[in-house]
Amino acid sequence: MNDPITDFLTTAAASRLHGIAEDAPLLRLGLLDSVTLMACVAFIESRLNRAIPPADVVPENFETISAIRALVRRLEAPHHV
Amino acid sequence: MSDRRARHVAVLGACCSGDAFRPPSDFGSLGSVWYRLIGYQGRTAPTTMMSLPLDESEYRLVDVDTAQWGVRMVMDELRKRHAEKLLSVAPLVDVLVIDLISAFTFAHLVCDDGRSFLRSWEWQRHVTASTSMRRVRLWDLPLSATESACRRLLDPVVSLRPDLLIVLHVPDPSFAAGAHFDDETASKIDFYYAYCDFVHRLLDRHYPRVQLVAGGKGRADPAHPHGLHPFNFDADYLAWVRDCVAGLYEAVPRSQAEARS
Repeated sequence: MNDPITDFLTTAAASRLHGIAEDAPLLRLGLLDSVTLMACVAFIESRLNRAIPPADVVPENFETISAIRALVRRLEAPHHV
Repeated sequence: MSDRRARHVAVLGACCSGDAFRPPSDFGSLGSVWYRLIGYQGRTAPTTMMSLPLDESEYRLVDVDTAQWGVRMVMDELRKRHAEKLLSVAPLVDVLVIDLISAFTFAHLVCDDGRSFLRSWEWQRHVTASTSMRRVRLWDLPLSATESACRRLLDPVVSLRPDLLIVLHVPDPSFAAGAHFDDETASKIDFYYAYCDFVHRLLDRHYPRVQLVAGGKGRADPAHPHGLHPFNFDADYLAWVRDCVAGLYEAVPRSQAEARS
């Protein structure tokens, strides 16, 4: 099974992000709008079977695909609360 | 609150539905939004959504900035990606809100081979089509086209999410502040209500959880980002829509859906 972000990037909902570089500034380029962001959050939550705390839904965690992957890794860590 | 799963909403239709669920612009509070909009296909109508796309050789885009919502929206319309996008988030969606405002207010452009597209404000601004299209209105089309399109659009979605709550949103047009229709739409208000009633009965006949949000006394908003229009409402109305949908979602027991399915 792929990680949640790799899977999310293959969906039609994330079509604007197809093929985008891992370090491309998604928010600055207007590639991640509020609806796509919420779809991404929902997708991650469903795959991790837990809610993302509001404190983690901040720009720096969604600035690039790499940053989103890092967020997922932190959420998957057993000590994350 | 972060321990409770948020409700996920998808919208097919117009901003009078989509904007009711848009997250606030301040990014930091997005995570606490309870009814999250995770799919929004704006300026859509059931019949045009299920059409085949235009080929890239059949149109030219002008004034293009892909960071603009309007450009992205017309590209989805040209490529007919609405159903695919809805389907990709369908497993996560709790409530699907549908309105028929765009279908009613915009002309439909129909190719000789039957492909059709909504002539939205953004289409008029960004798309120059080189293929032959005739301009028709919703009331020129057979109702069977709507029935067929709704089934092809929604059957796969409900198959993925059998307990999906489908809400048909039927706002009344508001003529406050001088808002008005500037074409033949003005004389077809009765058709709008009859068409919405037809679609409501159609959805209710085929899907287990269907509810209606109608009325609400919305007021046209002179400061609306898309301008003064009978279906561009103020924030109070959008909050009312959101509250109605939330109330319906919490009130309609899933057992009722299961009993009917």
